[in-house]
Amino acid sequence: MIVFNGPFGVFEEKEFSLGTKSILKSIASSNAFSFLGGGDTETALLSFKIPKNRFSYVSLSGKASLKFLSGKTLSAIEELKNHKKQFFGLFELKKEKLLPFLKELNKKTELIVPSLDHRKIKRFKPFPEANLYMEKPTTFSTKKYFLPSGEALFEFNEKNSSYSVKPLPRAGNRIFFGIRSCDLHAISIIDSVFLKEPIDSFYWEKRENSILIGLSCEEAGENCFCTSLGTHLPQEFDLFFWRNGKNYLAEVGSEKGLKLINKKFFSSTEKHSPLTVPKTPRKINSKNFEEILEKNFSHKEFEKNADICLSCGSCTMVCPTCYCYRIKDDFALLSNDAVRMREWDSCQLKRFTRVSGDHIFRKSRTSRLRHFILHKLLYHKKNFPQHLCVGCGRCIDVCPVSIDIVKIVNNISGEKNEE
Amino acid sequence: MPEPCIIKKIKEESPKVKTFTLSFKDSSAQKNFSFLPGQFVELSVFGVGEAPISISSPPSQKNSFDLSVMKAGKVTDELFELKEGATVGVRGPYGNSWPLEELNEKNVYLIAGGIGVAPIHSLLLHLLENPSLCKKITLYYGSKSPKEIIYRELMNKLQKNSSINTLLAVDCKDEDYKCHVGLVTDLLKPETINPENAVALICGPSVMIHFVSLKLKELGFSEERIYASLERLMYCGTGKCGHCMIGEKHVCLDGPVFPLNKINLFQEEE
Repeated sequence: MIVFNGPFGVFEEKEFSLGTKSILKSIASSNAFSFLGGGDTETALLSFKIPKNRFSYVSLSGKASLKFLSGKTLSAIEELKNHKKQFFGLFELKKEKLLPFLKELNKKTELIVPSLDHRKIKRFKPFPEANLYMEKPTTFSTKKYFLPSGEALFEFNEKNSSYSVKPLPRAGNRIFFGIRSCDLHAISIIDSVFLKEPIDSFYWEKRENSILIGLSCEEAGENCFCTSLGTHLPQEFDLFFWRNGKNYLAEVGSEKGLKLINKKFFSSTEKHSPLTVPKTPRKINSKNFEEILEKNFSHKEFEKNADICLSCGSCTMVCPTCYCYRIKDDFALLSNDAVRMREWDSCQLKRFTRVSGDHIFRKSRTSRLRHFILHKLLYHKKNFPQHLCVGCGRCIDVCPVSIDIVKIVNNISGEKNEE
Repeated sequence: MPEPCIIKKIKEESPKVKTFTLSFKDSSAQKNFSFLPGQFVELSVFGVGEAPISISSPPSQKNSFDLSVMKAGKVTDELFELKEGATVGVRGPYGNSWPLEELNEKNVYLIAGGIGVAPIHSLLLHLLENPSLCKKITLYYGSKSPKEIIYRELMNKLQKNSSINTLLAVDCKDEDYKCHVGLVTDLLKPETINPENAVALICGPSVMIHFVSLKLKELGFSEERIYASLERLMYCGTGKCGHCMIGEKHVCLDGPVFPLNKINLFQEEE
């Protein structure tokens, strides 16, 4: 093994370059395992036109390489080790065994599955009443099961002008089946907000009591653009069902998921999980859209779309990651009891930023629409690991005036839309 | 979940402002409640909802804390109906505080408008108790009229006390009082302000912050020496409800006090 950690002398000057050049060339032609480190080393390789692939490993950092070789730990690598995806196994499930498997799950626990209702709306409903539907992505995500549109937080009652606060009973265990990759990402995005200190206990209980079983997509929705955001590959699931011809391959993602692998239904397999996902019809063309949005706060595209925007807030209601809420108290008419409620709110409504004295901070539609788009694709990632958008395209599906986040971002980037 | 608090005392400061002295029902909760000047709490009036309110008493006041509240919305309307001895709920404290370390060895200019004087009051008392924290203090305070000037006894005392230059402004005079008639920005003159080795701290309505900061910059303050405490709608205080965002910043977590170079205050307001 050869370790090379920096050039010999001032290789930038032709008179002093010969030593470095000939040593690098001879390492390149040797059969030994070669490890090169340091920024100057890379510059030398470039200036001598020696291709990097002639060496076993080239690191850009000299000091960190030496530290690592001397047996010390590097914090970034330690972090990666901590977060490496644990492999729990892969199992096969025959298609005809899916329903029996779901029925078995439902024996002990409430099971929520995607369902098609008589109005052709696809939403998650309890099994077995649900009309199980697995073809296309669902109209609504599982958001309401973790963040209900109206949620009672606690109850309090008045007695002699004093109040006592008492907690309410909590949701039981639930298993979710059929969550698509984008919606799994959406759940982990909301986790990063609500499970950040101080932890939201109401959300935590519901998350803690749930098991997530994902399902790969057969066909993309009309406005899907998950591949633009990297949410097409699943993460943070307990089980994930890959469609594989006539069968499913179940990838296990956690201990909880492993417990669901019942040998009555599943068989072990040596196959790899098929990482194929359908091609999405929509795409954010620009890779560096964050940078572009950062620079184009006042772009006329926002105003143009705000002109037709109705500020109805539908986009935020169907969004699987929109988590904003408001608080209010509901009083019972005939008793002294009241409940504190938390309800979904929408940044598209004018009163979202209203403070006492009727001052509104985002008065214009332009400022509200812009806040929605920038919060999704720019602001959120400055505070959290991911964007606040998973590319499910639901906001485009439901917009009554066809405002289209993909189009807006592409127009701002000055690139052509795919249609 | 909000912790029950008893209203110990209510003091009428002006026709629209009352100072509520609160103390936690649970004495250990009161013991553990510590805060810095500039922080706020979420105040629950049961049956109505919650509102973010700045603490106006200094941290040294241990057995209770004060909230000076203006009657201005649903929660505060109902709060004004309550009597001494009634129960309210409190969560917090939340937010950062006034930049206490930045005041060290500097001249401090406190600029308050309306009920924005409440968090300034907490800081002012803290600085009076700990004179080593900063050099000279100057207080500017703008109100609608002399009747609406709150903390009157303190203001009277300060106006007589020569160590703190106290300058008051009112929009119009409804009674005789030693103050300037006009805007608080009129008082910001080179004669009273020296930007050298100084920090300016502002709290008040959005428009006032805008004009005061313009004036201060004109007088030679750099943006990082001007701090503003901001008002936004907040339901959680913990960065989850999404209402108080300014760009990527959450006023409840990253603020409410911001140096002007760290936040683009007026970009979004249209």
